[in-house]
Amino acid sequence: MSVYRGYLKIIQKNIGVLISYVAIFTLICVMITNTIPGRQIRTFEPDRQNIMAVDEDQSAVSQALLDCLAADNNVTQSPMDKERLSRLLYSGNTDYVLFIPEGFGEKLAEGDADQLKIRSVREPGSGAGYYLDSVTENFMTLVSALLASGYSEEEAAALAKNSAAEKAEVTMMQTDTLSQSERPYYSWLFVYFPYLYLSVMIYIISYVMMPFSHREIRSRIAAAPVPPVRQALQAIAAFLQLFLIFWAVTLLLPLMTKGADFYTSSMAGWYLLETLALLSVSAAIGFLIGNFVRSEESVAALANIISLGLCFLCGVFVPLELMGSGIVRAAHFLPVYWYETGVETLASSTKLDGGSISLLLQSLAIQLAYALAIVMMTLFALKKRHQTV
Amino acid sequence: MDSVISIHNLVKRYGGVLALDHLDLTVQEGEIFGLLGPNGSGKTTVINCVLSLLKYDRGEIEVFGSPMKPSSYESKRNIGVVFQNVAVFEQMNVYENIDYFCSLYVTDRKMRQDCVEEALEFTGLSDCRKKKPKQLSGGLLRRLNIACGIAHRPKLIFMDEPTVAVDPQSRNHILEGIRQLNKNGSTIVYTSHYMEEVEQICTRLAILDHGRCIASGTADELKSMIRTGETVTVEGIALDETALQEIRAMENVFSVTYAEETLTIKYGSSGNLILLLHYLEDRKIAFGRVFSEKPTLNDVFLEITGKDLRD
Repeated sequence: MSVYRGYLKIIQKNIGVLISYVAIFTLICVMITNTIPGRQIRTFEPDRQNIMAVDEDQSAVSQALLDCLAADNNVTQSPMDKERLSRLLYSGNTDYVLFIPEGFGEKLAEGDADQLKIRSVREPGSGAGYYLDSVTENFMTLVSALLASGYSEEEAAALAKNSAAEKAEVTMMQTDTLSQSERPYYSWLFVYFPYLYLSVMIYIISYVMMPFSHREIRSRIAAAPVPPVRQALQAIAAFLQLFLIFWAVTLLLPLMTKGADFYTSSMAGWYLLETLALLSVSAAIGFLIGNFVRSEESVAALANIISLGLCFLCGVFVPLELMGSGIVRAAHFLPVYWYETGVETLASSTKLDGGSISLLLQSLAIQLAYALAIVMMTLFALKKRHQTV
Repeated sequence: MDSVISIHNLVKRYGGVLALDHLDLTVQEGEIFGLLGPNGSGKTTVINCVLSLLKYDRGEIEVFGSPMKPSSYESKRNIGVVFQNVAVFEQMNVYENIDYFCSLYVTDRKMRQDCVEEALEFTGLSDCRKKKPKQLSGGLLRRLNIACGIAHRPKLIFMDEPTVAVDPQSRNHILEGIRQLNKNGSTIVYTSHYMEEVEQICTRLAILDHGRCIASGTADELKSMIRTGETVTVEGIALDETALQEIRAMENVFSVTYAEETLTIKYGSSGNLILLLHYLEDRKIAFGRVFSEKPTLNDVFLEITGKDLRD
């Protein structure tokens, strides 16, 4: 176990640097998790505006307009008091003030829409205000058309009211089994783990392996009676302790991200398996890079390209639903995609059925297969390099 | 004596460049065998091929009587290597470096401890055991490089230019150490382009040029192979063509060169200096420094290849 001891020694000598790498990337991961609350909203709820209405017409049509607005907003009727209404608008207690002048219904029936003196006041640049303007205009256009077609004022008002009551269908980009409730907060932390694991593994493995890649040291070790595959396996054994410590540290992160309920979750075991599989893939990638990269600059460049590249392509930073189908298809060939699939399955389920378990097992198997393939590829390359000093 | 290394018809190409050209060499047990040649002559390539660190195109290599392959771990266990460039871990101190490289060969902790202490003592690094490599001078770093290669008490040691860029004191220490290792029973293959060193410590040597072994034997055997018996050099001398003709016509002279007031005469035998001095005195020719040299390995190389070993 001489090579193993050598790696442990180098790890021990560089422990300060290694801890700082772990700390930096862990901090980044925690910060990302804590500062992107938007991704927690998984249900749609329309926003209600506070409308102050001054109805001087008091007709069936004006009442229908107010009813139409009241369906999705809080409408309060008020007498004309410019000073009070301005104060309410200024203080933010009212979002929108609507004036319906006397004769509003009659003017609509005469088709004299241009002469209508309906007015609205809203906060300048307010999106909700523009929306309410358009609701009012649509209502007037519809009622005007119905009256022109021979409907009575009451009938037109009723039809317009019914029409406005129809809700636009809102389809969420992703539907969860937990559709009506928020998914657990800690699940977002696990979504970002690929960035943490890949960055840390590539950095620390490369940093420790770099001295061993020095040409003369490589020659000296190659000239010794230790087979190259055994050397590599001893290196892996030495790193295994480091991996397990790092893994344990990352499992404390839910405490730092308001996710302490993770520890009591029935899914915790599956999450642990997923993170272990991801750790294997990340370590295998780090092992491949660490064996062939000679400078810290190259390590930094490769760590960024690989960790950020995989994370963007596999839906860590940007949900896959927002990406093109071609990218999603390509992502199927990347291990991080399968980790994300596993975590999404866990995050969106309260109870795992047969289909979910099969998907999780598939995700774990594919990740482990990737890790094994990368390690085998590295060992093969090392064996080839053994005679090309 | 048994042969420790036997190389037959070794051919190694780097792309279109022929690095080793049908090389034949034999190193006997107990020898300090020198591989002498200019830079690029193939010395390091021979070592790398023998250690199976390089694949070769053709030929056979036997070490300790067995064919040498990458998986010849039993043979490798008895081989030590001191590479041309220092190969140690910057992160470890002197003791840890020697201990690590020794542990690749010696697994028993107690035995390894003895080996490391012995290597520290042998290379004079006992007082520096706690120092990191970057705290060592160039000479001490070279000694650490040697200690890492020999700590496991190998029977065969390759030393690839171990004295490059080393101060005279460290160089003497290293050369003395090599002799001591040899006395302790190790066979040593020593490569250098410093012919004085090779001549000083090697019991037998081979001269390489363009991957070919152009001569091999003891230093005296090699020198006896060439025509030069003595080289006399006279500095600060002004000669006309008549005098040069007369010198060329002297007994045993086979080569005369005269440039920048320096006269160099090569004789086929030794003991010619007195005759030359008499001639200069008779002709009342003034001169500065005069010295006579016995043939060197450089003369051997020069006569065989037509170029200077130092080029």
